[in-house]
Amino acid sequence: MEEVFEKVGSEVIFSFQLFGDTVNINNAVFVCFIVSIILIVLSALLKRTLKADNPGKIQVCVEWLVEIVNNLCKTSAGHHGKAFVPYIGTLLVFLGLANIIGLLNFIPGLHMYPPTKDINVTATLALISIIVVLGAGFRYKGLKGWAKTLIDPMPVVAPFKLMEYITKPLSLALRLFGNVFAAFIIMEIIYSVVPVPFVSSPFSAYFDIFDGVLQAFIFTYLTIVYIGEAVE
Amino acid sequence: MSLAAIGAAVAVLSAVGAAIGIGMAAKGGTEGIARQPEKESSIRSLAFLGMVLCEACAIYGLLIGILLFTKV
Repeated sequence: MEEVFEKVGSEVIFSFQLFGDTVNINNAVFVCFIVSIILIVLSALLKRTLKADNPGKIQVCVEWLVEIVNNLCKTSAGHHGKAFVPYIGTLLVFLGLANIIGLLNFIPGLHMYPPTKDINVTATLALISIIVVLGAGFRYKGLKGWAKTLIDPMPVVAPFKLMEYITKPLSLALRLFGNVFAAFIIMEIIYSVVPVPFVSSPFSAYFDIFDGVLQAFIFTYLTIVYIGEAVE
Repeated sequence: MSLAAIGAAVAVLSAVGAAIGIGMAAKGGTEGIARQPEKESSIRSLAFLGMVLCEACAIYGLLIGILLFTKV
């Protein structure tokens, strides 16, 4: 049980000196870079094989994914939704891959823990999302229109509406972090108690694959819902 | 150790509220779909969203339980 809890924090992979300070690069940052590189390489490869007629199997899958994101943006943010498709799509594929990258751990010596089990990563993503929400409000309503939404029914609610801009990213970050972290801890406990692969695989299918993809979808869905609230 | 363990156990009691909330969201979703089957897709996504928001509360409890247990 003790060695399970040693894996809770992100381990430092390497550190270097910058302007007299020590900069520690830990596992979460490293895996984030790996995920980004995988996604960039995959999209560059897939872009080269795109065909208008007679599309391959992979292209159909990619088009299905793009269609999901398009529909999500259109239903939630109306006719402004098209502008947010790149951000929402990137968030979905990045989180989807980041949450299930722990599956690569079957290779010994590879420490690929999901980066979203570090609260700093999820907090950063939630901050980016809330900045996008605020920016969308400013962009499509103007500063005056945005200020008018704060006092929408009556001026008394303004502090609570301002407080929403703190609670929204807080709950986004904590939901993603809590789910991935809890799934990670539960899976590590299962691995240490029952080291038989066939017993732990159904748990892994639920906690690693289903829960990870679901939480990635929920994060993007809530982001686009908040954007839709801001631009409507 | 013992007091922290009791605290962790109490924190996981948040699952009770989350379970009630998820049940109510599922009930509302099913009733809505039974009443208006043509609105199934939008009702389903709304019910799903409600369930997810409830589930997050249970996860907060679990998180606090784990943090107390490890005393991070």
